[in-house]
Amino acid sequence: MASILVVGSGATGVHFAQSMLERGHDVTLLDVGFERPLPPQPAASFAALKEELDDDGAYFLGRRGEAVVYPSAHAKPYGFPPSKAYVFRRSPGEEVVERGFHPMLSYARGGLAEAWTGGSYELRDEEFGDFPFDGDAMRPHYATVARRIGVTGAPDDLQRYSPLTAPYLAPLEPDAHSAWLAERYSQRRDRINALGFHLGRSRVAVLSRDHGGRQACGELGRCLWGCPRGALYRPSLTLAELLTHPRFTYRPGVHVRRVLLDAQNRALGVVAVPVDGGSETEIRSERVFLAAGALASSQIYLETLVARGETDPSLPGLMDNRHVMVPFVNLRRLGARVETASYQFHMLAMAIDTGDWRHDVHGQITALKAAAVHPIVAPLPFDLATSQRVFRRMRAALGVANVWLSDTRREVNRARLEQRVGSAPKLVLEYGDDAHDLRQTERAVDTTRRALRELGCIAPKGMVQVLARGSSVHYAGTLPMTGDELEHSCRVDGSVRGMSGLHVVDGAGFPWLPAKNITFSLMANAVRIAELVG
Amino acid sequence: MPDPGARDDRRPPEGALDGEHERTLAREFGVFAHYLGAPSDDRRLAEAYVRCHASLSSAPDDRFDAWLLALAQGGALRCALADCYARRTRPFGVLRRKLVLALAVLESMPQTHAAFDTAVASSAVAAWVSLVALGVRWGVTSVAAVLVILPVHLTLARSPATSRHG
Repeated sequence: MASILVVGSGATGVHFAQSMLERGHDVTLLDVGFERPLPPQPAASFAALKEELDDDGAYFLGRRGEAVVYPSAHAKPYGFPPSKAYVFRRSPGEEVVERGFHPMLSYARGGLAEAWTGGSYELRDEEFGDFPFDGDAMRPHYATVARRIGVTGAPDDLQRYSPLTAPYLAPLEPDAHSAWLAERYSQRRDRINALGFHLGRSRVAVLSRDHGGRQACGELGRCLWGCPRGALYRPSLTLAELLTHPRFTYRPGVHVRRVLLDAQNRALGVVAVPVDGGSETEIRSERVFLAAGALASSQIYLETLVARGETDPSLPGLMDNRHVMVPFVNLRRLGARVETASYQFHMLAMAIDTGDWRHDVHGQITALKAAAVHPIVAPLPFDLATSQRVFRRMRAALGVANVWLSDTRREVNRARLEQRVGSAPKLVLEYGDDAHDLRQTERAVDTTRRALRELGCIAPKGMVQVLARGSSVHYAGTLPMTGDELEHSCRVDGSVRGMSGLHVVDGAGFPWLPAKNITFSLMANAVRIAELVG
Repeated sequence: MPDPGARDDRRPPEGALDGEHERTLAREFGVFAHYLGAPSDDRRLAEAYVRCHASLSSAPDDRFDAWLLALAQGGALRCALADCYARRTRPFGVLRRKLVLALAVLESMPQTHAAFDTAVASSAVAAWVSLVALGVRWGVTSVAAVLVILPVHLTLARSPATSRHG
C-alpha cells in the first residue's frame, strides 16, 4: 500500500497518523519539526531548579534576557520561557502580515499544543449544529483520544456545557486556593447560578496516575516551563510513540509549500523546501492530509491555488476565540502559604449561560502558584519595590480567570496571500471585530466579575485585559466542513472540494468555533476522519 | 543546596564586567538590587544583569527619561523617588524597563530568588497591617517624589529639545 502523506505533527497530525497506522496504512509525516530541548533536572521542583541550576538564570530568562517581560501597554502577566522558544520559532523566511489578527504559529514537533495548558472539553450536541455530522459521530473518538492521552475530569455543574462521555481520569487534588473557591461556590451556588455563571473542575490532559509509560503529575510547579515527566500531554509524546512503528516514516526538516496537482486536480504529492536551505523537492503520494494547523494548512492550500493559476485567492471565515484575562484578588487568602510545588495551571473552569448556546462563554480559573514574578509585579500601581512587597503578601490571594468567547465565520475575516518576488508568498490574516463582539465581551467580563465578587474576590476593572485577536491560539474556519457545495470547503471526511486526494484534518475544517478550547475536539475529529477514509 | 562559596571559583560567564559600560551597569544593578530589597555585591548577579541588557531597549525616550535614570542611579532612596514618579509618568520608560530587568534577574538567581519568589506567610491580620504600612510608606514616598521631581519635569518639559521626537 502506498504511503499516505500527513503534513504537520501537531495535535491533529499525530492522532490522525496513529489512527491510519492502526488501520494498516503506511504513513509518512512531513514536518519542519523544531525539537524540544531536554528539560534539566527532571525531578527538581520549580524552587529547587532555581537553587540548583548553574546557568546564571539562563533557563528562566534566556541567555540574552529574551524571556524578560518588559513593561508595555500590551504586556501579559506571563511570558513564554526560553524552554518553549522551539514552539514559536518561525520557519526561515516565513512572514505573516497581521491586520487585526496577531497569530502564534508553530513549526515545532508537536505544534502549538506543545505550549497549551491541557484544557480538554467535549462539545455538546448543540455545538455540532454547523457541522455536517452530529455529536454521536464524535463521541467514540473523544473516548479514543482520552484513552490515548489521559484526561482528568469529574461530574459537576459544567457537565451540561462540557459533557463527560469519554473515559476520564480522576482530577488532581486541587490546590488550596482552588479548593477554597470551589467550596465557596458550593455554598453560594444559587446566587451565582442566577448570574448564569457555573463553576466546576477543568478537564485537563494531565495524568493523575501513571498512564501508557508516562508518569503521573509530580506537582513540581514546572508546567509552563515544560513538564519534565510527560504528565501534561503534548503531541510530541505521541510522535515519539509513532517513531517506534514499523510503517511510520518521519521526515523532519521540510517545509511543505503546496500540494502537487495534475491537470484533473488530483493530488500527486506535495512540494516542499528543506528548512536548512536548498531547492524545492517533490514528495509523491496520491493521498495528502493537511494537519499543519488551520493557518499553515490555509497557506499550503492558497499556494496550491496560485500554482494552479488562480490570482489572489482568499479564504473567508477565519475564526479565533476572543480571549479576556480577568485577574482577581481573594482577600480571605491574604497571608496564606503558597505551595509553588504544585500543578501550575488551571484547576477550575467556568461557563456563562447566555441563553443562546452560540454565545455561551467558557473560561478557566488559575490560582497563582509557581510563576515568573516580574510580569505580575510590574503592572501593579506602586513603585516596583513596594509592588513586589505587596505581591509577596498577596500572592496566595491572586488568580486569573481566562475567559473565551465563541466565534463565527464571517466574510470579512480571511486568510490570503501576498506575493513576493524571489521568495515564498506571505500569509495575510485580516480580522475585524464588530459591535456585537464588543457587547458580548463586555457582558462576559461583567458577569465574570460579578460572579467572582460572589465568590469573595475582587476583580478590578482596570486590570482586565482584552487580548488581541489571535492570542487564544484556537484558529479555525478557513476550509470548513459542510454539506453544502461551497467553494473552498471540505466534505464530512475532510476531503477538499474541487480536488481529489487532498484532505484537511485540522482546525481549518471547523465551521464554527465554540468558546472552549477545541484541541480535544480537533484530535477527536482527526480520528473520526481517519475512520472514514481509512 | 550547592555551597554558595563555591560560585566564585567557576568560569566567568559571558558578559564579564571588563569594560567601562559594563562596570557602569554593574554599579547601577547594585543600586537597583539594594532598592528592591536584596543588597548584593555578587558579581554573577551583576553579570547576568549586564548580559540580559541585550534584550532591553536602553535608550531613554527623552531628556526627562534620562534624568530619571540618572537620579535613580544615585542610590536606593533616590531610586525609590524616581521609580515612584516614573510609575505614574513613565511606566514604560527606560528606568522602569531596567528595574524590571533587575527584578527578573533577582527572582531567577539562586542567591536571591527566595526573597522575591516566595510568599510571606502570616496571619491575615498581620498581612493587613503589613499592607497598610506599605501603603502609607508608598504614599509618603509618592508625595516626596512629586515635590522633588515635578519641578524638574516641568522645567525639562518647557526647555527646547526635550524629546528626541519633538
